[in-house]
Amino acid sequence: MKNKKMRPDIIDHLTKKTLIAAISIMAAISMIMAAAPVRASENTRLFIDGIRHGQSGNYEAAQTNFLDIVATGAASGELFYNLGNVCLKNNQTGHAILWYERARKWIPNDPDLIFNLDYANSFVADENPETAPLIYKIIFFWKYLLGDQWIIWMAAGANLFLWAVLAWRKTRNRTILKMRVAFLMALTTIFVSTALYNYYQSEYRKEGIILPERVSVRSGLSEDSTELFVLHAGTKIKIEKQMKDHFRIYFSKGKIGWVIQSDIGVI
Amino acid sequence: MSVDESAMADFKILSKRSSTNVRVINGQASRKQTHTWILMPLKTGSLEIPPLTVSADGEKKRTEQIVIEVLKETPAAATIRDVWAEAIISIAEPWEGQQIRYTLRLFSAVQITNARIQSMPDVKGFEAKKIEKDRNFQTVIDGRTCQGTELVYILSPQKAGDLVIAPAVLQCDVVTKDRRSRSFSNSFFDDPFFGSSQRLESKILRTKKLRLNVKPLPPYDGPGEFSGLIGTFQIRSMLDKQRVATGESVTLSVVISGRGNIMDAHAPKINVSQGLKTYEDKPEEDIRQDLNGFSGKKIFRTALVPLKEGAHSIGPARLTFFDVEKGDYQTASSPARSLFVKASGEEPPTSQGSADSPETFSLKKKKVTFTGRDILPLKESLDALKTPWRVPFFAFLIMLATPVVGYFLALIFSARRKNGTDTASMMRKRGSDYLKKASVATSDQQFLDDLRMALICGILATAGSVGETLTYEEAGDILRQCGHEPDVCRQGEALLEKIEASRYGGGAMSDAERKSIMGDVENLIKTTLL
Repeated sequence: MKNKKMRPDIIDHLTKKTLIAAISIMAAISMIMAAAPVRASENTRLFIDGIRHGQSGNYEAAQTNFLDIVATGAASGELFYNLGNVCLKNNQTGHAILWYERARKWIPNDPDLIFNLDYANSFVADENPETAPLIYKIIFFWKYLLGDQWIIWMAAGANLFLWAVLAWRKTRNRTILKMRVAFLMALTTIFVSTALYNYYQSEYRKEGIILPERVSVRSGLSEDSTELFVLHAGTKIKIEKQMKDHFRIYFSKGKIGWVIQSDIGVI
Repeated sequence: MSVDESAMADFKILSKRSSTNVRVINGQASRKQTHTWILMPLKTGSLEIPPLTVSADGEKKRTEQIVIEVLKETPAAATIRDVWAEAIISIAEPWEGQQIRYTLRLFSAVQITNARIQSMPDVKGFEAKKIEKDRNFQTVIDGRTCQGTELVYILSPQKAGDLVIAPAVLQCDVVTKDRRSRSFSNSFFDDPFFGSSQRLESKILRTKKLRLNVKPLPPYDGPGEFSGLIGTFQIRSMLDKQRVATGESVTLSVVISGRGNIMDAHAPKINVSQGLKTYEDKPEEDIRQDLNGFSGKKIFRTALVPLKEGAHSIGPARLTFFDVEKGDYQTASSPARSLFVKASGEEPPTSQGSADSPETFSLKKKKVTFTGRDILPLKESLDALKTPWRVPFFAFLIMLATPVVGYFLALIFSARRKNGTDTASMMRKRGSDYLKKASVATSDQQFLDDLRMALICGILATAGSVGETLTYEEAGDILRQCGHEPDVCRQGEALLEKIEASRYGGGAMSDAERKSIMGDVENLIKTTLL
């Protein structure tokens, strides 16, 4: 009898708990479901406003809008290109080149980007005697002609094809197509090694852009250290090492020194 | 059955359809015909559809009168509309013959389908030409993202005065969600995939009437002749050669280029010396059409043949046109040209030149340099917000490793398959060897031993297994398991039993017996088992 009397309370309690749990789960699901579209539509609004500001000459507002989009994690060549444009119109040569260089990782062959980056580079005051020679670009044309992602897919495709042909030859005891297999092997090696090199480069051989109008490159990590040379906005450098809040940079042969991290935008 | 629609004067009939429904109940047939009109009110206020006369089977009947209250669209309603159309013109007060742009835009803040133009705007008094490509775009209006479609026509007023472009009427279907409540029982079929939760609502859209004040061209009282061209134009002329011998041909090219009714350009009159004979060529034109109208060039070529030596003059080419920007007639002209003609075999004079510098004639190519610098514009596509997937390093390694793993798996599979095949071929070879040995065996015992082994090897080869001995029952079982015909199985059993019996019987075998049993084994092994 006692148990029978308690049962409605237990059921009540259980029902309440179940109801609360169900509501909580549904609320959580709704929040997760709603978060993505809200962000998407917010970004769309920011983007359209940014374009409108950019077209009406309000470059500062356009830059703020595009940066807000980037802050949400969005990344694309076109977005970075637009940021480069508005920064350049805002007379921020360093930031403009930084965003153009970032865009180049996504859309390396975009003619608008190439044109604008070329134009922005004409404002850079420092001349680097060690720009990559043209012959290098001719020999390794695929690295420059195709983007990183294309090279990866080409490498994966060639590799798959090569191993499929090898398996076919082995299982069928065929020895024909020797020249073609050798060619395929060479092609696979080229693309795979280029893709691996690109990964290595993006991870360990970082490059950066000087952001302020004028930056002193010093011999040490303190402000008292000797000023070795001066670089200007938009100059591209290699980042060799990171220590505290400084980067050790390499500009050209013999031109090495330390710069505060905030003065450099990592590409 | 026919319906007299002429009484619906306050409405414009956009479309109509009819359907017939025949029913037979208890042998009694009845027919129902439904006529449906889509009407557009032509004015606001209380409009009526008077009783319509319906004629059927020689009998006339009248429908009931319907009164419809047509309200003017309020500004508030206009701002919250979901689908609307608008028409705009680029210039409200154009000159007669000036090219203007008429843009028809359809905006939708909701999903629409089957958009079509019910009636084109009436452009009486204009010459109209549609720009080929319609443009689709996305824009934000009053904080709402709208899809837009734009059609552009280039209009050219053919007369002065007040002209009206009548409204264009568009029709589309708005896709709306059905407000039926969802239930667990039919939630699957509520899915939009099955189309049950969406319905189409037909909408008629009408643009505003546009009024234009077309200004007449002022009377022309200048020198020369008005070419009839309206717009902005340039003219230039050139000779392909400046020094020729008598009888040689020279080409005079006159190029009229600019924006406006360039297609109406005619060859300008040019005065040439009497010693030159002229032959006009067919004009060549390169006319393009864009959002601002027609532009391009027209080239008039004339072959000049000098009949006598000496210096000949070719007069300037003049073109009088109406400049719509300046609102007045303008005359453009190219400089006069000179042509030096020598008698055949004589050197032409070198010190004298034409009216222009030689550069004008030679069309010397120059390196193109920037005359101004700026960046190219922003990228407006919303694709900029999509982050493309980049292949992470570990995924790339997996992509590289997968085919290698596949390769080794293929090798293992192949080796295993090959292994099984090798056993069979080995036994087959052994069987063949024993057969050969049996054929040359001198003693009966040796002959029977070899023959037995040949038969056992042959049977085991079919099963792909290895072994040295079999009873005739085992041989029969193996053959049956391998799916051989019952006759073959029985023959195999019988042969093995016979060989065993002869081996242990000890009696001498005649040549005929040896040949017979040998033939049977050979036949079984070579033709049936292998």
